[in-house]
Amino acid sequence: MSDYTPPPPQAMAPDAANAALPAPEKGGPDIMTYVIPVLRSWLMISVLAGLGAVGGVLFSLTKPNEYTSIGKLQVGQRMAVQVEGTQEINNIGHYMGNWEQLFANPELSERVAEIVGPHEVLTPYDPAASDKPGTNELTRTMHEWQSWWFGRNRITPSGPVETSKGIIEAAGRVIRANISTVQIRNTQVFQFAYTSHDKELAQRVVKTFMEMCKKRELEWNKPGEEELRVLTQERDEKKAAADVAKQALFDYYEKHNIHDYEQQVANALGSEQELRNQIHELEADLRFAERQLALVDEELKTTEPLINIELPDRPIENLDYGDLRRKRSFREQALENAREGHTEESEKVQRAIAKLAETQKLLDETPRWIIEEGGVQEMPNPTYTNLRSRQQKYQDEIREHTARLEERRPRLPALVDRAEELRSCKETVRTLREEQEYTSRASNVISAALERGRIHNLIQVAGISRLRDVQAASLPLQKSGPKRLKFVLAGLAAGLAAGVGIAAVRGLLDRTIRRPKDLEDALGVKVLGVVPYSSGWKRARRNAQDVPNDRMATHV
Amino acid sequence: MSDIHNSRMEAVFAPAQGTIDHLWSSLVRKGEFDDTKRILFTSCFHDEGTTTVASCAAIGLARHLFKQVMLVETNFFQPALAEYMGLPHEPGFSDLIRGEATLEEAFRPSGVPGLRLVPAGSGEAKGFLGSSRLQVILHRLANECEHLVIDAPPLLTSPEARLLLPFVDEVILVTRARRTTHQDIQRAVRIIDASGTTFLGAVLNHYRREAPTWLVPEG
Repeated sequence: MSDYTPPPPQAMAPDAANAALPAPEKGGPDIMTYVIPVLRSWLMISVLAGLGAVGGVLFSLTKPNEYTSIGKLQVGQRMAVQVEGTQEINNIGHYMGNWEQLFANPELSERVAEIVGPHEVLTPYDPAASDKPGTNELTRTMHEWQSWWFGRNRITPSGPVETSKGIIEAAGRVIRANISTVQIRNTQVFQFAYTSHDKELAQRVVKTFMEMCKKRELEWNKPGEEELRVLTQERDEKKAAADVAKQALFDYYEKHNIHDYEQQVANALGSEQELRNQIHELEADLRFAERQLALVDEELKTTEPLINIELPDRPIENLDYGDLRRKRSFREQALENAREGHTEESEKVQRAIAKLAETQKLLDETPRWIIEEGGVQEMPNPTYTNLRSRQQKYQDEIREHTARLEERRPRLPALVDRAEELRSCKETVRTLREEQEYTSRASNVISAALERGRIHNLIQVAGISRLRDVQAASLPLQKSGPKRLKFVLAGLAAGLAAGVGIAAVRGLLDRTIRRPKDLEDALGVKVLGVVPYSSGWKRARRNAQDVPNDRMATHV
Repeated sequence: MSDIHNSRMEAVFAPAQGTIDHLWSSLVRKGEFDDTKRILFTSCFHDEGTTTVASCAAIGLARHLFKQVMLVETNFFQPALAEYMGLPHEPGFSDLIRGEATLEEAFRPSGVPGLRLVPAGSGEAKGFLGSSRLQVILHRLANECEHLVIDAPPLLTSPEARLLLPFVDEVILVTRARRTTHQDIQRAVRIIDASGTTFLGAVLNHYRREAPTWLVPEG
């Protein structure tokens, strides 16, 4: 056991306790910072989700039963109109343009409300109205409460009820809010659906709405006589302007002889370029020929026209040898002749043999070929001859190129001037053409508008709408709403989202130590130990009372 | 239960058996087995489990090192050790400081071989903590054992706890999960560092796993 010496107490400066610790590592909160609080708060999240679902149910109860009537209209692609002897007009096309604009017109819905009855449209859902004398008290009370709930926003008309503009406008707004117009995909069919607590009212609204649509379609964009007159006048003015522009363009073409302007520009530019290319090539060839001629001339100065050639030795046939060959033939013939009439031992034959032998001996001694010496011979120099021919060739080429250049060069300025002139016309031609195209197009547009106006007038006279019934307004047999499951699911989702959000925020703001890692992050040192949570502390202390104290004493 | 545990103290702290078995090894460094060591356990606030952790450490040191260990409770404000052990509160450390008891009277047997207890005693001893008597008492207690484990009041709520810091070798901070905040811990560590005493580390008490292991391995 060591001898303990107490150290002197160290005075602590008042501010020492506030001395800066090494700052904990700052990093963004990891995903677990959010996940763990969410897991930890599962009970709160479940409660909130449940409350949301209950809220959804309660909210759906505030909605009365709804019925939806559906009707469909088709936009006619082609129609035939024949009025008072006019010719049949086909394929009118989509000059109306924006059908949605027609359907969403407030005036249309107000007219529908006016026909259907604005008060009926605005009447709130009244379950108590359907109660019969035998209905029990509880149901009756419930219906009365519901009637109060649904009727709390009842619109009270002011002024004469039937003519109150405000009531009609309000009913029109209700119709616009509850009617949906959908174009069925890739077709020219529009579907109208109106939702109301009264199924018959829904059917009447849809039916009236479709009829009003057809009527309004006939009135829509109806051009009056004045508009047609203005259109006609505008069309004539534009036509005249188009004629003037066309004439101006023609005159300009005439003046500059450019009726086929683009072709002429292309030709002029092409010809100029082609001539420039030819001149350029000829000048290049001429320079080449001149350089070659100079080289040939230079070479000719050092080249001799004649050269001496040493002939080689050659064998020549010996004429004496030939004579001896012929002489031997004669001797042989003479021997043959001598043998024909004489014996072999006769003197004539012996003499002929001797002469033949002599001739043969001479022939053997005489060589057949003799060598003639070559000597030296003077003859024209082929290099010189070649150079002279090349000199002549280049001189001819120079003459030819010079002649062709002299023929082409004077033509170039004229072509350049023409191309320049055509270039200068370009802007004017463009302006004149634009003017002409613009006026022509404007004239055509106005003519088309005028034609459409006339066609529309014909349709008006005939009273034919392009909208046709595909499906009449239906009487809904089953309720279409409210979708209670949708409200429940929405409430559930909202509760879940709120719970998760609250848990995540609470976890982010929570700065308490929850796990060893938090402690390490806060202190920057290792955690020495972890004492796990236990619910058995009280029981352990109670049980410890059973251990006798005397045993404790024995251990001291 | 009494058949399983050899002493009442071990029976009281049986739920923290794992801590008893492991915490002691973190308190002993290599080569320091022969020196008398004064280890102070403190916390930021009350009810964070300082007495529990200090007792576990003391039991572990006595049981595994076979040394003379003394557990001294200096938290006069919320004494708990005597109540846990079913022992009389007096005389204790406060009585020692006031000079109203002798060391032999203040010692309590623990039932654990080598471990003796000194409970907080009766009344407060605020006025005596700043006196030189505190040094003398601690000196005498240290001479009576090989490891002196001090259960101190919380640092942030009891300024008296700071007076003990200069007389110990090492300080261990006890924190309670889901109660102590980062800021509190950092304030406490600043106080410990300012005293010049070695801050050994922290023990997390009342820890409860909040997420499954497959999701968050470290809990």
